[in-house]
Amino acid sequence: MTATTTAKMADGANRVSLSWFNGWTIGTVLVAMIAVLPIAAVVYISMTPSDDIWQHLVDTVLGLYISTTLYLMIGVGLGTLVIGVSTAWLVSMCRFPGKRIFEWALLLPMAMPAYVIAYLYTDILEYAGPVQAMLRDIFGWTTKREYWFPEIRSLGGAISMLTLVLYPYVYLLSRAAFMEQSVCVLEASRVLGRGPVRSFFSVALPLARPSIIIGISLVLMETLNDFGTVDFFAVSTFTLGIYDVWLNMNNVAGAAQLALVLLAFVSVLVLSERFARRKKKFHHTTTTYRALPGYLLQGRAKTLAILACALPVLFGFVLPAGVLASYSVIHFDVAMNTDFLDHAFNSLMLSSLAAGLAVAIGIFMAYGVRLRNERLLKVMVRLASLGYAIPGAVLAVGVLVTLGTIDNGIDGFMRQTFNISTGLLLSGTIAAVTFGYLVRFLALSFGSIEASLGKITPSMDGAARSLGHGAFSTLQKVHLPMIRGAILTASMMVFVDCMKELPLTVILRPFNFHTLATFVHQYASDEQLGEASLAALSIVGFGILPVIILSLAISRSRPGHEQGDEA
Amino acid sequence: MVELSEDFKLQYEALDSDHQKLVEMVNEISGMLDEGCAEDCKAKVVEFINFTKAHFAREEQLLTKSGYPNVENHSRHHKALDKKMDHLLEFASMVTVNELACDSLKKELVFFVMDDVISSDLDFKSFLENIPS
Amino acid sequence: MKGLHIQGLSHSYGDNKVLDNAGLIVPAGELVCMLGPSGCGKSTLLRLAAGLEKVQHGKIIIDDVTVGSADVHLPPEKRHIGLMFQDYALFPHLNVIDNVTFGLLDMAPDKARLLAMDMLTQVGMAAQSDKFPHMLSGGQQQRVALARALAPEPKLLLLDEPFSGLDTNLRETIREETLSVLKNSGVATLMVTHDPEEAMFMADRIKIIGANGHILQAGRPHEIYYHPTHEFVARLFGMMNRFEGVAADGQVETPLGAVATDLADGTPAEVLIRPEGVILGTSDNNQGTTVEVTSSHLMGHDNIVRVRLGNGEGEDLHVRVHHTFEAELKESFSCRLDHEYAFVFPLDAESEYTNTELMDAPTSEEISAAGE
Repeated sequence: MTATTTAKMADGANRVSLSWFNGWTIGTVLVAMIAVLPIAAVVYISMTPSDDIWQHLVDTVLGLYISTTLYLMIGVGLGTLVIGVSTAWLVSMCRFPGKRIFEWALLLPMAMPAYVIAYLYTDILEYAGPVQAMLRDIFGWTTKREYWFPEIRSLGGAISMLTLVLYPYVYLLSRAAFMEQSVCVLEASRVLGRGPVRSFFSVALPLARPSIIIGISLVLMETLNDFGTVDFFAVSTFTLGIYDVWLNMNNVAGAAQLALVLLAFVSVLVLSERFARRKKKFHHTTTTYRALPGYLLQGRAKTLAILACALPVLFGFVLPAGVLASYSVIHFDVAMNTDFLDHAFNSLMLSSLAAGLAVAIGIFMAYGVRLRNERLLKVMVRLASLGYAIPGAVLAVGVLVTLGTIDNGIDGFMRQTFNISTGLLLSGTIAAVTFGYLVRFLALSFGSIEASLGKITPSMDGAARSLGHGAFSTLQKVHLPMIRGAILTASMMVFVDCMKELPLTVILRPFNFHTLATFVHQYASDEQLGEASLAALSIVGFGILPVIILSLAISRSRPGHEQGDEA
Repeated sequence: MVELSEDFKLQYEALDSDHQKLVEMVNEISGMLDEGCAEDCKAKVVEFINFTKAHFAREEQLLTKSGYPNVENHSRHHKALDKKMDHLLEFASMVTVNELACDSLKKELVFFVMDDVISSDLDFKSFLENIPS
Repeated sequence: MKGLHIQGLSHSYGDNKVLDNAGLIVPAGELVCMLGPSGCGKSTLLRLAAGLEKVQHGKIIIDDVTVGSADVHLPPEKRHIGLMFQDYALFPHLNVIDNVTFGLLDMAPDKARLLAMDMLTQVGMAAQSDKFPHMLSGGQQQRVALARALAPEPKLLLLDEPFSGLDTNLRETIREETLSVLKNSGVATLMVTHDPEEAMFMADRIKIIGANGHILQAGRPHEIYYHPTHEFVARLFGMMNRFEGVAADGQVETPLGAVATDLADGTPAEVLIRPEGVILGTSDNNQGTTVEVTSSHLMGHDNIVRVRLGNGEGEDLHVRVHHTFEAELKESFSCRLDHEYAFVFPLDAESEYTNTELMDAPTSEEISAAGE
């Protein structure tokens, strides 16, 4: 026996201060910092304006921006609320012909970018379009002054377009909430003498309220993010204002100041969403899955229900997609001549790159949080996923400012030390666009990966680790194979959102570089819809992918329900 | 075979040597049982118990003298071990006729020495570091 | 010393101290069981031993090597331990044989396969080696988990409530099988459970840990049951009949007779008597106290008879009797004490240890459930 006074220390043991998973912590903090940079940059720039344009903005356009944005939000909010909740209630609580089809078909408009249907409906409904031409034929009018027809390129038009493509968010969430509700609660309400309609208002709706609020918050975030529609319709919202002040007035600080005000709107939405999510946890109590009551609708109620479900699908998807498809066929040669393949390649390449990176970083962060359940990490991760709420135009300002600063820094350094000017290394490159996409869509991939990692019991980690596998090997051999599905879903969601993304891409893309979305935007704005039709149709085609996945997920999430219906 | 490895040592010579002796006696008894000399085992267990009690007395005296604050708790712990020593003796009287008792005795001796006696003494290891041995 | 040695382990989550100066040893080949109520820190102790959490205070030593202390932390993958969870934690994407070979990292694949098959044969699962975990029953999953944990020949095996997921019948079989596999392998095993019966069946030594994370008693199952040194320990094994009194002349008086104690005279004391420590006899011979039957509940092999002291006026007692003993309502018996089952504790015993509801509740519910 040796007389050493200290016990042997194990090989491979670490002093706690240099612990082995610090790499994950540092990495996660770093990623979060980088993801927050653009937002921080916007705040910083707006606080340090070079020339004081703010007063000018306040005197001229600010009021208009605020009121227009508010009207747009109210309009879209109400529209999606009514359509989303009523269709969700009908398909989850009632029985009527076509219900099984509507369950998934109601999600289809999600595949439509708002700007695409904006161009389409303008094409259909404007003075020279087929609808007004037909009306003139029927009634024998010859000039515009002889009749009244709603102006599609207006605030009302923008509200309608956005409502048509955004209501699925509310539908999806409130439907899930209705499905989760315990049958017992609803039956109790009916036994206590309340009819279906009163049960809806007194029980089902209050219980679903948190989910509905989440849905509406998401819708409004998308509304604030929209650029293509308001730009085309010349509706002066903040997003458009930022673009205008920046590119037309050439004033970054002013744009950043507007962006800051917009961020105030956004934070209200984020807070209400978070609050609702927290509240939802209390509401979700039972897990008794039984077929929901299914009020059998007959007569007028049946017709109304079918109409209520069919119209949003018809106007939000079937009609525009049909028109788009026929244009693509008619104008196929023209469309192919517009370097369609190049743009498609650009879109695919950028979106795949962003999706791959977003998923990789999402896995890294989600596993980092799992390994080290610390407050700092959680805060960092929340920060890193803020981007989902930030409108593309704001992010674009932030990304440009950030990258510009980095570029100037590198350039200055290189000039000083090597007398070489590097110019702009990052700004206006594909890297810039990808960075923008990442910041905006990281939350999407991180969220779904975190959720699916959360379903793996921690004892899996314990088992793998005790069997001699390190943290990384455990991730590789245990977690990744188990969450393959979620990884696939996450990368596809990010991919499709990148395909559709417009404002970031328009602002950040390299000169003369087009994706399908920017190409559609440019040509359709010039009323050359024929040329753009094939590109637009491709975007919609990809957009259907997540719709399929979502509808599969819905039907799987409630096993009892599905079996009952299938039988 | 058990051995008094470094982690069980108090680094206090007087007590460590007592502990070492206890461990050796346990190994000796185990060895006797393994080699079928069970008849002589009881006497050895009695010797072991007497030594243990003497050790407890020495330890308590030392702790009291040097002002260890929890000395009362520790002597209560020692007292609670009386019952266990009775059981050891009971097993020891049965080893010639009962093989299970023989197993139990071996096990119990190890736990008794290592866990009940030595491990619980480690509580005042840091206290002893500050007084001269 | 080969095996596990834990020294002065204390651990807190925020202000909540779950382990308080806990120490234990598990020599190679022995099975030590930590027994305590939920939330007493016994699982924390296991997680600390496994390296899934970092030691705040104290020391963890495996085979004479310090693997965890306030400033040393050996990650779990380097500790050479086996860990078995309540939910078995089999990897769902791997089949049985791949689960078992998962820990055989440094071995050639075909050799690992052979060894894994050998382990599976030992636990009787060789025929199922191609199946996936979701195709197995709970008992089969448990066996695979055991094989997986033992395959790399760990220095220490940690079991976290390993049988609580199984239903009663299966549990007893699996318990026995597991024990024999463990004894064959000669591994040092530390198991935590809240089930006293399981602890008694499996363990060479039981460590009782109280609600405040303090180790209250350690000993053979027999010692723990028949010589509890603490009121909390006595109560672990089901309901108790309880009387209060004062120590006088080395004993405490109860309605059933005096119980010997070494408490100082005048100390307020409580006497706990196991239901099997109350013996009923015919009331004719006028010996002992008279009691009157108020109800009787069949508990399988035994009956629990509820009797009332003092001709049906006083306190209720629970008496365990053979199932053939058919008591009649309001029937009178004489009643005396079996001193082996009667324990005296000081009444002012630190109240921190008396949080026994967790352990008591199920048993009293069982009684009423059986009665109603």
